[in-house]
Order: sequence, then C-alpha cells, then structure tokens
Amino acid sequence: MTGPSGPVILSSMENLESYARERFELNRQKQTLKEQQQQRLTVTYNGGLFRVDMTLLNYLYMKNANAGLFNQSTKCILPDSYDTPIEIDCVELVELCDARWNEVHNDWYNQFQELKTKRRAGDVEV
Amino acid sequence: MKSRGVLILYSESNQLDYKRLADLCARLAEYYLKVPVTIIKLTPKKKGRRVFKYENLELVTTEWNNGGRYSAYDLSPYDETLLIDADYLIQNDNLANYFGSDHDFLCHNKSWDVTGLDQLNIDESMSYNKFKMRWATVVYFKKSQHAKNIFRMWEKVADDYEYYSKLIGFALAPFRNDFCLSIAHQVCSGYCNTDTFSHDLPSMTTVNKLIDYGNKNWLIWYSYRNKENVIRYSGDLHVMNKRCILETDLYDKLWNSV
Repeated sequence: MTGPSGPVILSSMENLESYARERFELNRQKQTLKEQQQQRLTVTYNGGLFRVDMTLLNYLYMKNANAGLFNQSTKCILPDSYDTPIEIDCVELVELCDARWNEVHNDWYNQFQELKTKRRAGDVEV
Repeated sequence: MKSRGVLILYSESNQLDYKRLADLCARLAEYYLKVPVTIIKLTPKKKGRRVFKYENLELVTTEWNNGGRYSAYDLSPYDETLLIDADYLIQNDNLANYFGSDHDFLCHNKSWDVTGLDQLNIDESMSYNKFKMRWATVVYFKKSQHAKNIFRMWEKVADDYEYYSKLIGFALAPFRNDFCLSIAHQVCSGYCNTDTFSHDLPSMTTVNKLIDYGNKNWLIWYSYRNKENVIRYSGDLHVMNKRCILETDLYDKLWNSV
C-alpha cells in the first residue's frame, strides 16, 4: 500500500494516522477546488441565468441534433436556474455553455493535476 | 442602455483602515467586472463594537460601524447596482453575469468556508428558532419597486432593531446588517427562498489568515485539531480577517495584481 509520502507501514499506528490525515487534507483541497470551479459554471442568456451542467448540455446537443436530422426548430423555452421560463435558441446557448464548460474544466483539471503532487502544507504555493 | 456599477459603502474605524480596504476592493471590482465603481463614506448614527477572534486565538474588540447600508438604494447612481462590502475582494467576472438579468434584488442565502472547515455553518440561521440567514456582503439590485421595498424594510428593521431582536430571537449586540437584510428580504419575498444568488458566498473567517497571493491564487492558513495547514483557493473572497491584508504586504500584491 502506498501513501502520499511513500509506502504505508500498516502496523504503525503513527503512520496510519499521518496517512489518514494526508488523505483527509487532500479530500478537503479537492472539495474546495470543486466548489471554486463550480461557482463559475453559469452563463447568462436572454435575461436568464443558466447553470451549465451535463443535463443542460445533453438537452441542447440533442435539440441541435434533432434540428439537423429532422428539421425541428432550434428555438424553445427552457426554465433557467431561477425557474424563470426563457426563450432560447439552442445553437446560441450551446455555444456559450460549451465554451464555459471547457474553460472551467480545463482549469479544474490543471489545478487538480498540480494538487495531486503537493500534499504537504509546505509544498503548496500560489 | 441602463447604467451599471458597483457601490462600496464604508465607515471609519479606529482599528482598521476601511478607506484603504475600500480602495483596493474598488480597484479589483473595476478591473474584473469592467464597470464603474462608486465609494461612499457613511457616518453611522451610533458607534458599535464587536469582538473578533483571530488566528492566534487573540480576542480583539473592534469598532463596528456598519449602520446605514440601507441607504444604498438612494445613494446608488446606477440603474443596476452591485453593492459589495469593502472586504469582499473580486477575482473574476462571475458577478457581472447578473447585470442585465431579470432579477430586481439578489443576495446570498448561504456562505461557505473556503478552507472546508465548515466554520460558517452556525450562520445558516440567525436565531435559535432557525430564522434563515441572508448575507448583506454582496447585493445586486435594480432601481425597482421591489428592491425599494426591501431597502425600506431594511431601514425599518435597523431603526427598530431591539424590537426585532426580541421578536425573532437574536442577540441585540453587535448590530448586524445581515440580520436586518434577512428579515427584510424574507418578509418581502413572502418567506420564500427566492431572490438569492445561485452560488454561495465564498468566505474566510477571522481565525484563518491569508499568507500569500499570486497568479490569482490565495494561499490561506488554517488550523485543524492543532495541526497547521494551508489551502490554495482562487476566486472571489470575503475576507473577514481584514488585518491580514491591511497589516502585511498582501495589500500591495493585490493592488499591483491588476
């Protein structure tokens, strides 16, 4: 079994405790990273505020695919994060959502990769 | 085109240089949100005090002059205003999303501790009978009848603070704008959980401190079960421990970052 600071000797309670603490801190940092990135996952469109999530992206992609395949309209009404019905154009909104999704997730990924290698307090820097 | 801008209200204190903090806050807001900023100094009718516990567990009694924020509606020169506290430091354009939205008034209904220690969970409600808390740190409002009603009610609660403290069941001192806003907002929203931001208020309590800033990242020191640690965070931050900015070189780092 390998811990963040090398192999974990399971018979040593001291090492186990330090391993548990390091895992705890990593999970805390991971959670903070998630929260800070998720608050950026919003876009405004036509007076409404939409939280960009997989459900919204899926719906928009599906509407656009149907529009292309079956000549359906790209316009529809969607409730925003505040349950206010907003008239949207799926092509326009998916562009906005896709751009925001990629921007946030790229940052999230890069910061997480860096975080994985820095688990001691002294290693973390701005 | 409706005018949009940020409004920062502050009052002077003997212990902390709020004017300096407001200048920094304005500089960051102007840069990230790309809207004009107005800073107005308020002279409260009466002075208050509040005890803060700092990172070294030191208890410090500070002048706490936060009355008069309800006058923001009349003081704001903008059609759409983002009213922010001087200790709320903006780091991205997230709040700019709300300009042009359909909402008349928005505030936070939840604050989250960026260190992950959940030290603000006691502030989810403001009284023993679980009256739900709202935060006056960041408020978006439009010049509209609904927003005006909330600010008028806010003023009324502030004027009759003792009465409401007994009615709702919260401590009379220190005076808190959050409590006034909570009551006004709940009454004017029909006690529904509406008119709130879609994200929580990112905050750092006074028992934690900022130790560094660079590349749009904060480095925050915290202690958990007597073990010291740091966490890196990027994004807007409500810095309750104002001393760690005003009394260190962090102020200049932030000032020169934009």
